[in-house]
Amino acid sequence: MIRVENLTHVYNKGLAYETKAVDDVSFTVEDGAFIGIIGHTGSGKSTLIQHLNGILKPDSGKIFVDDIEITNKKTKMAEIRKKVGLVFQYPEYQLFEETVYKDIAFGPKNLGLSDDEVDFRVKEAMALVNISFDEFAERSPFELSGGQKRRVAIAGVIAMKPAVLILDEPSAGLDPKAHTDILNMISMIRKQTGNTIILVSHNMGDIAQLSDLVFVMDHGKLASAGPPSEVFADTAFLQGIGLGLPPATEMAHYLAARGCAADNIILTRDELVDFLAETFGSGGEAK
Amino acid sequence: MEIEKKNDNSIINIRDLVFEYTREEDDGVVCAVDHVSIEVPRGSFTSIIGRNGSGKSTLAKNVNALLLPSGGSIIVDGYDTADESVLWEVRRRVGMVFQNPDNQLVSAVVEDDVAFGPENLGIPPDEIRTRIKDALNAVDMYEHRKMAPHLLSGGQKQRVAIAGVIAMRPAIIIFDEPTAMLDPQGRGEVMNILEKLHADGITVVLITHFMEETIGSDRIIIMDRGEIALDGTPREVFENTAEIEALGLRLPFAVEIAARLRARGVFVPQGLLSMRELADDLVARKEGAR
Amino acid sequence: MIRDITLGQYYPGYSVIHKLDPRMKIIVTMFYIASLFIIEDFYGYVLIVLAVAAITAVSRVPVRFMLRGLKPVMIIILFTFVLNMLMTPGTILWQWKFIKITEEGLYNAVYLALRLILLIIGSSLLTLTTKPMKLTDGIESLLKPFKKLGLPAHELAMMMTIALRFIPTLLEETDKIMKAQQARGADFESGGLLKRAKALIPLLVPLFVGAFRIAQELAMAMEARCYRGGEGRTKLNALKFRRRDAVAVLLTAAYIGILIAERVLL
Repeated sequence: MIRVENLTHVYNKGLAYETKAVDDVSFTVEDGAFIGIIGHTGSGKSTLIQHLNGILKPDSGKIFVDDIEITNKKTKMAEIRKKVGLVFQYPEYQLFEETVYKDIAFGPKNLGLSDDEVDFRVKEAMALVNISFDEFAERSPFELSGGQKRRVAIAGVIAMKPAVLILDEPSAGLDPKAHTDILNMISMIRKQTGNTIILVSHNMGDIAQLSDLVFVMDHGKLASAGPPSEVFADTAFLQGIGLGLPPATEMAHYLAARGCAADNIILTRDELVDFLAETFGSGGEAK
Repeated sequence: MEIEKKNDNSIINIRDLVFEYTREEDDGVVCAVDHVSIEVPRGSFTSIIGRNGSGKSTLAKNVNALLLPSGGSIIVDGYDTADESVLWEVRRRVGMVFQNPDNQLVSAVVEDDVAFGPENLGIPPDEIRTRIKDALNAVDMYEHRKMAPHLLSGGQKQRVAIAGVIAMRPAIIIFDEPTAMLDPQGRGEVMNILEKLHADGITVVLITHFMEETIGSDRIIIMDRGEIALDGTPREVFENTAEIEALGLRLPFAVEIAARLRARGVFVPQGLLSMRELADDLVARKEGAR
Repeated sequence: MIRDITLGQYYPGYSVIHKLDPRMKIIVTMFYIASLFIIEDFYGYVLIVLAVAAITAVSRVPVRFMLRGLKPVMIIILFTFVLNMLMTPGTILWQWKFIKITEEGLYNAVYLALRLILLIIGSSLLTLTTKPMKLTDGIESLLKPFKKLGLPAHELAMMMTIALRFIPTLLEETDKIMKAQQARGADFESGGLLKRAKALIPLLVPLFVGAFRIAQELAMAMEARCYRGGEGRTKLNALKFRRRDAVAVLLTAAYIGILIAERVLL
């Protein structure tokens, strides 16, 4: 469980252009939950998640992960890394080892694990990101395709076996196939590890489809939090802070304005197709 | 002096283009573009889609003579890209906007960066000044002209990069995944400018992964393994839903929904590309049935 | 830490000093540095301090801002000060066991420290009042005559331009990679020298790979924008020698003249 209490982070403190990147944010995340974080570029999303694994220190406020206060100076960093894994944007730019194997092993080795355990974890992580061990373990990570590089980089974090996995725009810049593959991979990881997952994304469709809870950041504040069906129902609010809707929701919204409203909020393509087939199908065969 | 060499309406004429390179790891020869022929009409808006490694970027770089054909030829506004004596005639006609907004800005000041292209062309300073003003106004960045690029947002940087290309007054602009690294807002900004440039008569070639961006184009070319897999107007191309999905691409939202409705036995006509078109059609059909 | 270094930083402004031709400013700065070695007595220093104070006042760069530039080099200044004070033989002013301060030593120490401070303040005045781009243009223009000797003036200037543009980008990149590796348990802060050096590999490899990628993409973008070296290139902001530059030259000449006169006559 993650508990964030009154977290505040100020950039350029004391200077004329001081900004509150994160402003008095509090929330709780239950074990195994899938959290989607949305918000404008510069709304404080990235700053917020970098606190969750202790890379940034707050100016005030506390963060607890499984009752360990990670904001406490006495807490060992290694403890936090074991609990919270953070995959940055474009993580393939952090690859540095000669082989895929060594690169993924970097994190586990830093945790001081035995060679056998490291070996086991590398294999496990590669299986989770769907990169064949036999084919790729001894290849240079720099020879892989963009999508493969990214999976290897994600495996490097997964191999540390964090209870919480945070991913910042994990599919940015990939082609549509690689994008879908990465999302499927995240769902698979969740299913197999039972991890708590925090996904930061601009893609409202992905967020609506995957998340249990959606956090909306705006100007450093946690402006809204709730299940997708609640958050994406408040169209006026989202548009007011410059955020879009999932495409399926947007279409349902448009249809509602044309006199064809659905009974429940529509978030995913599947739900939209069901609704449309019911409403516009000739024989009502959807039922 | 510029010689009028137009004898037909096409501004880019790609004839049987082959581009091969040697892979570093094993010295194997890779055929990135495999016997491709395309004619691009003056003033048109062409979208090129395809998976990573399908050869679309390589194709674009050939048009600008950044890469030279291994076989076949490319004629840009009457100039052969393989003819080294007209290299600069080709490049001044074909502007390129790349994916990473950071790595294409040369100068630490916005207006100096926009000046870079015109300076290279040897344009007199007074004329450059007018061009900077026009170009930065066209992308709505004039008030940021004294800023340092690293202080701008991704979308703003990309707009500056576009201004740098506009200032060279090219006839053609090739956008090589210009929105891939931007957030939805930046993506919208760049697409608005792209559409405006097309409306102003510039020939636009857009390489992208975002299907929705291609809906407004005159023509879509889908590349796969160095070859043209599909070629036609958006309406024509997006009729081939199964084929497009088999190529590892995604359909535009409305096209996907329409296809899935058809699979459920709901009659939906072909050629509805945007979410609104689809919704309007469904509603109208229902009301008509009453 | 890095932010404290004002040497090489630009302080935006619209003073006459800001507007002067960068070539002129570079040459004047060189004369100024030379002048620091001409003088050797009290009146000479008074003159230089007055001159620097006058220029600073005209430039409207806050004194506080300029003094901040001294902070990183303060240790070096203190070190030379103490060394000179203790090591110069001469009339003993004060002694405690083997440590002795001589009159000559004190003079030397004060003068040398002052010279260093004036050197830094003087040269930061150049960079504080001149945009990096202008400075680059100035250097390119001044180096042009040496082109015949094979000195690639334009290329050097272009390299400086690009360096200026990409330093912030690379700093950002470094920060990102560092955080990403820390998230994987990398430790850049503890351990002995060898361990720390080894810890840098996960940082340096991606940084170099990144820098090469940037270089490659940038080169392609530059080529696509018709870059082909300095030949046939025009300049948006061609440097012009104006009346105010002539006035500055005269003032510099007068300054050097007075310094020499002071030294010869007094």
